[in-house]
Amino acid sequence: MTSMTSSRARDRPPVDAPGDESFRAVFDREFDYVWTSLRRLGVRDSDREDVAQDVFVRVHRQFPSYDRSRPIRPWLFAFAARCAADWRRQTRHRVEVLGTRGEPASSTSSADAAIATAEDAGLVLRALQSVDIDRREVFILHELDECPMKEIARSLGIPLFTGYSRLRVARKEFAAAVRQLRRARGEP
Amino acid sequence: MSKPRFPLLDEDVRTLVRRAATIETAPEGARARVLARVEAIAGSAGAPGEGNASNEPRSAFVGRALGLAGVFALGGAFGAVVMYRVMRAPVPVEMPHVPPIERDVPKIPAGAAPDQPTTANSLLIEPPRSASAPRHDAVREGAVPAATPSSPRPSSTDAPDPAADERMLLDLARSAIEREDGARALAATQEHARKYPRGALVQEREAIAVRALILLDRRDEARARVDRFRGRFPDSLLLPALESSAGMEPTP
Repeated sequence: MTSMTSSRARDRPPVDAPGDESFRAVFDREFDYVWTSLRRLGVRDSDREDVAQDVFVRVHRQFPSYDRSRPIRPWLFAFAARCAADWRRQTRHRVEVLGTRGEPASSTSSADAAIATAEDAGLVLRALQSVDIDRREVFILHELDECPMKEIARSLGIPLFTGYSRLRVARKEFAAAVRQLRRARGEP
Repeated sequence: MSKPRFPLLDEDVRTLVRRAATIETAPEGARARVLARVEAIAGSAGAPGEGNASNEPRSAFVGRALGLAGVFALGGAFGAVVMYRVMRAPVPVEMPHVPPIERDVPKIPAGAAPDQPTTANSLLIEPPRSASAPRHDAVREGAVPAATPSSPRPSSTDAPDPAADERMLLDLARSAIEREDGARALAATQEHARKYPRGALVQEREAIAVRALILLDRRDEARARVDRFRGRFPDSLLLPALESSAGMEPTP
C-alpha cells in the first residue's frame, strides 16, 4: 500500500473500484469524521485510537455490502456508535468530562474567534455527555452532521418515529445541559 | 429542507451547535497507526469482505478442518480422562497437571462466521460482537487475531466482582427502559439500591429510576426523586436531563 496521509489523498473522492483501494479512499477521507464522532460519543481520548481501529476493521469487513447510493457518513457513524457502545461495556467509563485537548481545528484566522470556537466545541461536547446515549446518537447525526432523519433511522436500525422521538427529547436534554454549563461558567 | 431544522432549539443553542459542528483533525500519528493496524489485520483476512471458505485453497481448508478436529478430539479425550478420574477417585480428587490449552487456533475468516450479516442494514443493527481486533502488541508481532469475546470470561477461581454485578443490574434496568418496561426497570433499580446503597453507580441508578417512573406515569414520584437527586448531586451532569425528563424547571 502506498503512504496514506497526504491531504491530497484525503480530499479525493472515494474510488469506485472494488477492493482495498476504495476502502482506502474512504479511510483517508472519513478518518477525521470517525475520529470526531467517537469523541462526541464519549470515547476517552486515550482510547480513541483503539476504538477507531475497531471501527475501520469492521468497516473493512463489511465494505463490499455498503450501498453506494447512500451517504457514507451515517453508515460509518453506525459502526462508530456500535464500537463506542462496546467500549463502554468493556471499560464502563461513565460520564467523562472531556477536556480541551484536541479541540476541533478552526478555519478562522482570528485567535479570539478560534478560542471561542474551541470553547463552544468543548461546551457542546460536555452537554452531549449528559444526553442519553441512544438519543445522543440521533442528536449528533441530525444536529451536528445534518443528516436527514430517514437516513438516521435506516443507519441506526430504528423506526422513523423512534428517531424523531429521541431527537425531541435529546434537544430538551441538550439545551438544559447547555444552560446549566453556561450558568456554571458564569454566563447569563 | 423546507421545515426548520431546529424547531425546538433556542437560537443561541442552535448557533452554538452550528459553531461546534466542525470536524476535528485527527493527529497524523494516530491516523497512520490505525491504518497500519487495519491493513495488518485486513492483510491477514484478505480483501474487504473476504473470508469465504470457498475462495481458499482446498488444502488450506482441509488443513484447517483437520486442525480444528484435532483440537476438539484432544479436548474431548482429555475431558473423558478427567471425568473418569473424577468419577472413580475418592474425594478430594487430585487433578493431573493440565497443560494450557493453545489459544492460537487457526483463524476463521471473518466472512465465514455464521453470525456475519450479509446486508448493510442488518450489519448496522447488529454488527458482529466478537470482532474485537487485536491491539498494538498483537499486530506488531504479526499475530493473527483470534475470535475472542469482547470481554474476558472470568475463570472459576476469580473472586466475584461486585462492580460487575452492580453494572449488570443497571444494564438490566437500561434494557428494560429500552423495551419501555418501566416496572422491570424500576425493580432492577430497587434491587440495585438494596444491594448497593452506596454503590459507584448511584447517579446512574437514580437516573434510570426516574425514567422508569415516568414510563409508569408516576410523575409525582419521579419529580420527588429528581428533587432528592438534586439535593444529593447538585452538580451532576445528569441533572439537567433528569429535570427535563420529569418536566421540571432547571436548577437556577
